[in-house]
Amino acid sequence: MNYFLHLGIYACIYSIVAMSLNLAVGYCGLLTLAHAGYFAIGAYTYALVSVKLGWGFLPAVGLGMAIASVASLAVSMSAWRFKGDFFVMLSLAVQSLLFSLFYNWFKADADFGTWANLTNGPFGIAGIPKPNIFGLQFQTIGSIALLAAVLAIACGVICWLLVSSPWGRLLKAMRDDELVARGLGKNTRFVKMQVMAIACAMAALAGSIYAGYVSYIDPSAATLDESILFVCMILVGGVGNFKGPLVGAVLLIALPEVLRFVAIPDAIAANVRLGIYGLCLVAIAHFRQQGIAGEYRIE
Amino acid sequence: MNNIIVKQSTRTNTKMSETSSVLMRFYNLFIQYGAQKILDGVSGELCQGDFICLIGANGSGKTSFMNALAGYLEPNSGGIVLLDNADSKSFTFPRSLWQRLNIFDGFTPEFFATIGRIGKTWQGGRSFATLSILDNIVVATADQLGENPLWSLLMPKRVRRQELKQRRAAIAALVKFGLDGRENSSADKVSLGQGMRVAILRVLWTCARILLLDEPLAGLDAEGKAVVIALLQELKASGMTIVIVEHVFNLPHVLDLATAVWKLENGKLLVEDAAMVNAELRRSLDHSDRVWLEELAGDRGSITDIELDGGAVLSIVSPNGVEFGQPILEVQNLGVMRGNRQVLSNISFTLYAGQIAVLFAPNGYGKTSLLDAIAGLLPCSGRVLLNGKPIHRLSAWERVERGISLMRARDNIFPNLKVREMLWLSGVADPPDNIQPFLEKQVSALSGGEKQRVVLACTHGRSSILQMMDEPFGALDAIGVKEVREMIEFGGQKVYLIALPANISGEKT
Repeated sequence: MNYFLHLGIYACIYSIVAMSLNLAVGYCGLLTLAHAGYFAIGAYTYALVSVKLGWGFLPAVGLGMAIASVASLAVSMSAWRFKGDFFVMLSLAVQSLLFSLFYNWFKADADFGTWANLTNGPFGIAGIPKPNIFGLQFQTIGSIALLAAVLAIACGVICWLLVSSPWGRLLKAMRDDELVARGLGKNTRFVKMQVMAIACAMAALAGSIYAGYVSYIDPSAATLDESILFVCMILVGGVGNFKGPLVGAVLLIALPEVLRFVAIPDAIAANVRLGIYGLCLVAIAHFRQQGIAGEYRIE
Repeated sequence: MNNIIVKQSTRTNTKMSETSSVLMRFYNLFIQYGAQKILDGVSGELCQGDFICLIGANGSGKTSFMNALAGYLEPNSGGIVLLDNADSKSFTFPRSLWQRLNIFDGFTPEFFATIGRIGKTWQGGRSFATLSILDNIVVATADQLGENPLWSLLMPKRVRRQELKQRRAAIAALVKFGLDGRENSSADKVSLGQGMRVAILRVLWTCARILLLDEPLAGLDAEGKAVVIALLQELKASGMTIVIVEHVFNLPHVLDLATAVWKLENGKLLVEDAAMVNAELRRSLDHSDRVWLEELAGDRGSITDIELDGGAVLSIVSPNGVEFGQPILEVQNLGVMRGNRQVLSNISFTLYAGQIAVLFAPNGYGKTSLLDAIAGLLPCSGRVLLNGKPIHRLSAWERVERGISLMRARDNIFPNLKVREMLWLSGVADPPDNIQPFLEKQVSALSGGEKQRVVLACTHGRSSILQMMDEPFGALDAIGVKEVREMIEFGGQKVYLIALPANISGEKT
């Protein structure tokens, strides 16, 4: 049972990430590869303020989301002037910058959480407390699964309200022809800032749940591989509608689990997992550009 | 249409009744691309109620001038002043570094659209492809509550009420634009003419007081033109300020409404009398497409009109002395679906060596779909034979290898290539004289008419036995039209299939 609850928690976390990325990629046409960095911002913020300051889950998550929103300017301001391949390259630079911060903000002889050693570098932060909301402890895997599910549903409702609103329509219009949208008086720069801030804040929320559940965070959560995994989820599941990212997140969580029931050594299984992701992406690119359940074809 | 006009007039008619006021002033505008001067010290002003027809040869800078007035293109020097009652906002060029960095004082199209209330339409319409027609209109509404994500989350009912009101008004406007029943169609599934109507309606929806219209009649059939011209008349009567650039064939329609003609020549702006320009133009456009076809047929040739379902006519010209030989193109029971919509069904015709066929069809008929299906760009039912051999199962490039050449009306350029590179890519060894001056230019830097000439050179310059052209006269000036007509000539086995909007030159086919 615990195994399925574990999968459920991961599905919820990655569904939040996929829904947030869908706002930027699927609705706004901004293919960002920096999302793992914002996921890690949420995770590290939760880890630091809960371990060092004893903050509860909600304020810690709120702070993580706020920091991620502000940090999203690094990506959204790039989108003011660049699009397409150049924007992807700039988001990659932001990804590298964030990873570098998490990895290198470290001094061996200083206590972690101090200005000299904020992230503990490659050793990461262990012993992160489980979520605590108004004194209510989420210690068991079942209770954390419930919390993750509630937050995922809340994010889903928010995304649904947003994408079905005139704001969601404006995102699609910008994606189709930004110049014409500007000619209609739409401040597309500001809208890009809004969408990236919302998407990055949601990624940070997912990162906080992850840190609270696993009780450990290190810079590997902010690698380019993770960003590519997030992008794979939405490309395989599909973008530009509500259900596509959910399908992608659940599928890419569930597919590697099949390997558990096949007699493959653990060392090989990790590589096979990457192979499966790559295979999914190639198959989708060839046979169904809009993804399994998506609406918008990324060409 | 009334509700559109009311939407406009709520902010403009009161001032109109008092006096005609200046809305925009521009002075000493200078625009240069490399060594080429586009605008050379252009000055003037736009008053409320002006209906200006902007004319000039291809490449004279009409689109650049319009883009500068709409905030899309920053002139090299000069100034623009936007006036609204006592308020004014002025821009001088070149702008300082601080002005460029200041995001609240930007020379941007969104600023011009909101503060100057200037709306611009584009050649070809440029609809938002993945939105429905209705959403294309409603998205243009100014000051929508729901475009703030916080309002959408916290006050969804209020947002929905405002949205419903806008949608109802937009549906009523669509009916008056002859687009009833199409409100839920995806914008990329409608014809060029319908897309143009959507673009005009969309820009009206922003409550603009100055309209800059770039070829609004291009690609429209007779019915579509009548609708748009009636709308322009209403807008003019309501005091709307309009600057319009139009294709040479359609100029007489808009010159009838013009209060003045601005002519761009050698970078200078000349003001001419609309009636005189109109009379001169009508003399130069002395023959319509039908007359052109009759000239092609000659005394001993013949024109056969085949009426197709949906109001289209396929006029096949068989010239002097050409004997019917082997059929080159045979189309049998061709049908095309776009999504769930049957665009064409049971289309059958045969073209023999040496014939020129012109398909006159109304907007939405499926002219582009027909040519795309024959070229293999769209799946179709039925059979297509070229030189007696079936090609309907072949891919597009295989059909090209067998001698098909298609000039598309849209998506027909590679904007980031140089003209020379695009010609190489198309297999054209000897560029024609009329594009020699801009061989080393990037295609995206060309004017609309120059681009059209390049596209024609790319498709016409390669050897083919079936030459298909979708609206080849678009964006061309009178000289360009003459060049294209001279280019299309009888010769050996070659067959032409040309798609034109019904009644393109305003005369009955």
